Amino acid sequence: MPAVLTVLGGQTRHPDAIVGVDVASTDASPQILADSLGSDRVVSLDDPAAGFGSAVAAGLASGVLRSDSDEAFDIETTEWIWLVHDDSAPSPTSLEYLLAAADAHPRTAILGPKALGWHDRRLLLEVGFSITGAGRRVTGLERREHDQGQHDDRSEVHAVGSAGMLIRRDVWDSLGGFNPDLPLYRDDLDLCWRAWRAGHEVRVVPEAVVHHREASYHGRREGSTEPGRGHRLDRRSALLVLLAQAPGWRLPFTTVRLAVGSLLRSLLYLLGKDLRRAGDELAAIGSVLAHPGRITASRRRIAETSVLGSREAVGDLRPGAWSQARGAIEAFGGMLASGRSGEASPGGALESGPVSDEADIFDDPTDGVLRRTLARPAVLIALVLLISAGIAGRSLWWGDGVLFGGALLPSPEGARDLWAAYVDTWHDVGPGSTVPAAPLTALLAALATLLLGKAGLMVGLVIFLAVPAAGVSAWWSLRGVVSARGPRAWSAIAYALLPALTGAIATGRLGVIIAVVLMPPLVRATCRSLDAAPHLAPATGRTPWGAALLAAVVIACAPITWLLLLLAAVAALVVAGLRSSLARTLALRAVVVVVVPLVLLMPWSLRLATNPSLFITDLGLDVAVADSPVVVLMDPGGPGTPPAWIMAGLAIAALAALLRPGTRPAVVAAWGVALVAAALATVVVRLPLQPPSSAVSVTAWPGVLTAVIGGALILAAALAADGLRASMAEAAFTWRQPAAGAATILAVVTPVLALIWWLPGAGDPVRRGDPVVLPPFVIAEAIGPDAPRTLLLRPADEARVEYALVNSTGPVLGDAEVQPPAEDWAELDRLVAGLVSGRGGAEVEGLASYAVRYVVLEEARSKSRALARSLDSVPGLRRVAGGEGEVLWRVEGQTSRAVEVNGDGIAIGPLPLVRLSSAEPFIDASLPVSGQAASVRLAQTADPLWRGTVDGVALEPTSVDATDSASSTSAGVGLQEFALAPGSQGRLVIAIDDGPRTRWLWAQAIAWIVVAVLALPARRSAGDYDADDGDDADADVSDGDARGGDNGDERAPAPAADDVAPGVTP
Amino acid sequence: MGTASAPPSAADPGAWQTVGIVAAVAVVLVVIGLLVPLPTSDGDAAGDVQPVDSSTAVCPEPGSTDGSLTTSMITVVPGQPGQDREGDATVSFLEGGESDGSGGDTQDVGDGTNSEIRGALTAPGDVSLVSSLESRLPALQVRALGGLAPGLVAAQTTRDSFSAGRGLASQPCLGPDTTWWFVGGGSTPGRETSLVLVNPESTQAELEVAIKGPDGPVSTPRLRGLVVEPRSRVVVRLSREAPRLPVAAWRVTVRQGRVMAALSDREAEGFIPRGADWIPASVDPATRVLVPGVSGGDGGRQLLIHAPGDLAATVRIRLITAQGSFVPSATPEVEVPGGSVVAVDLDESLQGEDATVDLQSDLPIVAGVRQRHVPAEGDTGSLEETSFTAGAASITGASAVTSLPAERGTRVTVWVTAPDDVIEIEAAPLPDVSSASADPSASGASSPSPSGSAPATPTPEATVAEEGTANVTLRVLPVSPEGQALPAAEDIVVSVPRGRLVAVDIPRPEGAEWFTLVATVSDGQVVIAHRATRRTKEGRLVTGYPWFPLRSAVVVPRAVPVPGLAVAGS
Repeated sequence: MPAVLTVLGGQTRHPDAIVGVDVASTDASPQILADSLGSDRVVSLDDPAAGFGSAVAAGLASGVLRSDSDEAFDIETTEWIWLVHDDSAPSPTSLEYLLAAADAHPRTAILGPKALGWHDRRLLLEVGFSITGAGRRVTGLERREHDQGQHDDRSEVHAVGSAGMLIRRDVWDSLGGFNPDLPLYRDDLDLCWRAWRAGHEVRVVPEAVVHHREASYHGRREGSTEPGRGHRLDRRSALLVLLAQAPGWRLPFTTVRLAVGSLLRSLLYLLGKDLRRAGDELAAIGSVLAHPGRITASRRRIAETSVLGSREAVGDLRPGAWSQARGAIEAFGGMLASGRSGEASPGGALESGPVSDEADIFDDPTDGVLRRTLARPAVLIALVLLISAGIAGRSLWWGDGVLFGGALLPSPEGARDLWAAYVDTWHDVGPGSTVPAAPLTALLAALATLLLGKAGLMVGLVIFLAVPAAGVSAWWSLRGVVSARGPRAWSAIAYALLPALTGAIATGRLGVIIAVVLMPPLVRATCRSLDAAPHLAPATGRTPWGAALLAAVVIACAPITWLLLLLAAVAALVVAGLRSSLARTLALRAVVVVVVPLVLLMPWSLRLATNPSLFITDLGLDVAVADSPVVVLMDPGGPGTPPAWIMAGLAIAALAALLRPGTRPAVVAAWGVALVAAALATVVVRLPLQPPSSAVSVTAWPGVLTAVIGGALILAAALAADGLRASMAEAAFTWRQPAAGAATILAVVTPVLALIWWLPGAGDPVRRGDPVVLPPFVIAEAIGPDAPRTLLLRPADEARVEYALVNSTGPVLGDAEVQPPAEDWAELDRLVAGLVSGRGGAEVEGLASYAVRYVVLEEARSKSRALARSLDSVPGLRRVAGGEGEVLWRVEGQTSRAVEVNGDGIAIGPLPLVRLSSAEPFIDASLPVSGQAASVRLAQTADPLWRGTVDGVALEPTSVDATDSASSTSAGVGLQEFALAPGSQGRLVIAIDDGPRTRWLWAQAIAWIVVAVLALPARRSAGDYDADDGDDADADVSDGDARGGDNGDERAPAPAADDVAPGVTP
Repeated sequence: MGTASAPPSAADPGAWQTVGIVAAVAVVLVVIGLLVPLPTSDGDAAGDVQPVDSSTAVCPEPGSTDGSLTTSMITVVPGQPGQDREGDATVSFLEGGESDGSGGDTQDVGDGTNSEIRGALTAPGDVSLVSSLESRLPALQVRALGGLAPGLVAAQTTRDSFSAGRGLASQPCLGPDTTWWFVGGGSTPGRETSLVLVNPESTQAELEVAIKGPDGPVSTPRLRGLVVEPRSRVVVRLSREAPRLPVAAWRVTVRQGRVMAALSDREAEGFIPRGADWIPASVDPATRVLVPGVSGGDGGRQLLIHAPGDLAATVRIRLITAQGSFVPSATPEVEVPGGSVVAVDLDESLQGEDATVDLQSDLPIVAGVRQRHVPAEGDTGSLEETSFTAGAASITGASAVTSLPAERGTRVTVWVTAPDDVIEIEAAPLPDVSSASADPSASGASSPSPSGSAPATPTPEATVAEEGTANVTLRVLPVSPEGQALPAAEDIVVSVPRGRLVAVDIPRPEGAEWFTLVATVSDGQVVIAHRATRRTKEGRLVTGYPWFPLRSAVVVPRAVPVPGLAVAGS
């Protein structure tokens, strides 16, 4: 404030009279005012709730000005009031220019200066402003625009700010001054608007400059308003002004529009976790609507002075719909250009401006956009890797059919099918399954939804963009960790080309791909949450929630990451304990990071807990691991992985990194992580794992673990390389320089070699084509009302035959994770083995009860030929097609999904299905169908979730146990049956009860929303670029320092003055 | 950084130590990785061996005409696994009629009422005899379930002393199948070869019969899409389909359903019969074919080789005899044009010895032998007789043949051949001559079994004994004329050196009319064939065929669900 007073004194055109108004200040303000102006020119208001308008009115009413004017001038003079805030400093020439402009434009009643920043003296705050239909203040400026005179051509504007506002005394009096219902905000707008409608002009004078701190608006001052109420008041005022100015006939529409708009904004604020503003929005509209008297008063006030309609007066000056849309697009573009896209949280939409540490791109704003974009390393890395991925995956890009092979099942038609696969309780997989779907299916469904429901495109993009995305993600995650661009770029490229990723791409392990891409940010967030990242900004209360959210996604993609998280959390707690500073908050954060993901993945994580092998095996189909991989060299083995030696250079470079003293602790820590992961991988690969759906053990693929090893070693090398050149150049020449050079060369060569190895081809076993193995006529029946199944056989060797039970056209994405448990397969195993052996039992009958209508023997090889002979001689199998390719038999008997069964257990007729989904009834038929049915049998494994009713009366579920049936004579062991009362009539409905699953999903959805809201960056206070506290210097997307929320909490309530210094000139 | 002024390595003695520790741990992990192998996906490799649950046997022509007597004998070989279960066996005539394959009316073949059935199958070891004199009967089907399914064996034997079909003819009653191969038969004047196709199922069978002659395929449009009605029989006569064919090879491919096929052959010169018999089915085409049961003696031994493919097969011939194996100098190698049948005269090479023909080819072939038995010189009252043999299946477990005659004047000889490894003939070492001199086969006397021969179980792969011998136990199960099983005679244990043939004359069981012979191979892999002869006033009657493995137990593999199988190309 002293500065304000100083500049007042320094005006080239000195005000004729000054009066200071102090509104119930608790600090030294009154004294300062009194000292500089003289106590007789200071008016004190005791009411702390008094607004700016009242303060000005009080100043004018004090009579100081009138008495101060020179009574010798009897001639009629135009008296002007100059309003100056305590937080604004007019430039010395302001008043002069303002008055000059006033003279030049006689109709002008209100003039305002150009407002610039307080700290950043070139930052444009406003050059006149207006209001949108929704009540938003529009200045017509870009974000963070600096004044270069580009807006100096403005003159007539809708409104000018009250800071430095020059107003004709008579107009002021006729308009009645500021609206007393607008205590602090929008009073200037209201006044100007009324001036316009009264037939006056409002003008901005860009030559006149005022530096304004906008203290109240940004909450830097606890003014006469309650703390943090600024936003609510602002909104309330805006709504009030709009309603007051709206033409009478439009008033109801405007009211509804504003109410809806406020609700939407409040929702967005809720997402932005700015609860207070969300509340403010609602409170503002509520307050306005609750006091119609204010609106009426304001409207009356306007009506008294208006000579023009609102549109007539200021229609040209208010922003049109087009310019508003353009503004939004430009703001979005600004965010993109500054790297706020991609991984940015949804909260970014609410964020207000570009925050970037790469401020150097703004150095030369005259550069072309293309050049500016290309000059950014992240873009270059992404481009290089994208081109590489395009070359390596060229066989997968084009062509007909869908992507499948390896672990990847063909994708269904659209996102809706994927969602159904996730949401459904019952899955038409094998003999029917009620295993909870893996959350990865939901994630893929969400991705497909983003791509307008194109599931096939989604799979393609996940595979193709994996490498560039991993590079960008690694680049981004190293911000603040590795500062030199070279090592950071190298790290990103080396990470993107790790064998784990190329292997996961070749074998179509979508889960591993996404996990590897998201791992760097997860590691970053986890390290911050666990206080293990000294380079990075300390964790806020939100960081662990963000980490947990990210971890949930990664765990859904690769469950083994949970084990790593657990290890990391334990290690962090142990280290903290060793330092004897085990903070409770750290423990809490660790719990959040480790436990919350499991809660988020709830129905599925229960399955993980009961089947620990699922933690280690990958999602998708099992892909055999043949050779023993050298996991220490980041080689997970299998298709798509280069020879182990290719990565040796990286390992050696990481070893050499240990030699640099300055970074050794961090490098040792990275090596520790790598070695723990390597030990884990060495063990995991050798564990005979038995997935719940298989009676045969499988071998785990250590893709994620080798990615962790690779990431850790890359980090080790990059940390040591950071700033290495400078330090080496300074040091005396010893063995260190050549050693560092050699290590650098090795490190650089590694990703180059990996790239060269990868470029010839990324696919195989993943490929593009037609995944259907069944002849068309079989499929035509399989998708009909009987929905019969097909048994596919392949003799592996003399002692082992592999088979698959094919429902409809075959398995699709998401089916691999919901394979029914091994015990559901046991009866089928027995039937298939008996059938293949040709022992002539009742296997065919048993298969028919499983609705197997066709038996297909793949490819007539010598082994298969013997089997074909054997199957030919099985009674009840009739060969329907033959030849050198596949051989097909039709199973005799009732082979439908649902059959009526008579008292002897003999199937007597099919029942048509409604749909193979748990969303609809399975059977909906009128009884009696044949009149002889004793029960209805489904060719599905018995499950307590099946419900059968006749006219709403529940049927008794029954099923044939393996124990009470003779070994080979009875059909339908373990299948779901419902007993029918003799002669029952009515509507038979059989359906799956999806209530429990639905409840789980709702709980899950709520949990995700809650955690997401907790994790999302809080809303940044809008437009407050002119900050002096340096917070913006380390603006981080992920931590997204919540200026609005956090600052509000942290700031101690400081006594502040809301002072007004109205000056009056004759 | 701090390194700028640091002296070389003196300042950080810990650095190398750290590097050493890290590198050592990494190396240890690599070494562990190299030393400890990955777990194999399936530890328990071998499949289960389980007894069969059902067996079917079809006797194609249980009846006879013109004064001949046909007896079908059905039995369940006892001592097989799984026979402790409840079981059920039914013997029934397939009364669906008979046609000649030309689409004409079905012929009247009787209904089985004028046949005599002795004995009933209620327990393992039981015997059922169906005999018929001078009446044509429908085909006979035996279906055994449960405990009677393992070890079911049946055969039919026809004895005709003086009509046009004079001779002794025997045919094993086999189960229906979808592919049949025969090599033999002809349609030269006086010769009639008939293919009998029986469909025992309740659904229609549709099949194709392809006939190949010396000049390749014979066009037989009528035999394409041949339909055999349910429970019916179709007889295809070669003389009608392809007249004047000296030699023939047959392939029956069933497109839909299953049939049992048998090939009967009879020859007469004017009114003088020259013998009749069934031509046994040959095993599927293979690059190595063993044709056992080529008997010594005079007459003609005609080896027929058919190469089913389009390309010519080069077949190397070797003969395995009691003395060892040799390559006949006259015809060491035969070129068989693709799709044709080649006849090779073996008389000169055999020099009257019993032999097993060992054929090795570069392409799959099928083969059979036609044997003409002429009376000894000066024996003017005797007539000629014919018998056949064909490429045989190798036997590693149990095998049985029933309906062997035990009356006075009959004689049954069994030839057990242990083939040597499939290696280059030139490089094949001759078997140990010193041990051959012991000749254990001369009297059919038992030689002590070298190993304590455990009960045989079929194994997926042949385990050839290191010593190079195969041990076979032969058990005689006699049956009284009333169809009652008599106590078994003492077992005959035969030790067969590799690359050698052993002929065993089975001692005729006293008081029996028929007998069943069960061979159990305890070591190694053999092919077996038998010859049954009957002395009559007009000369010897001869029949015989190669043996096949007894259907008693099967290897039940482990069935593993592999969801990825349902996606192409996995």
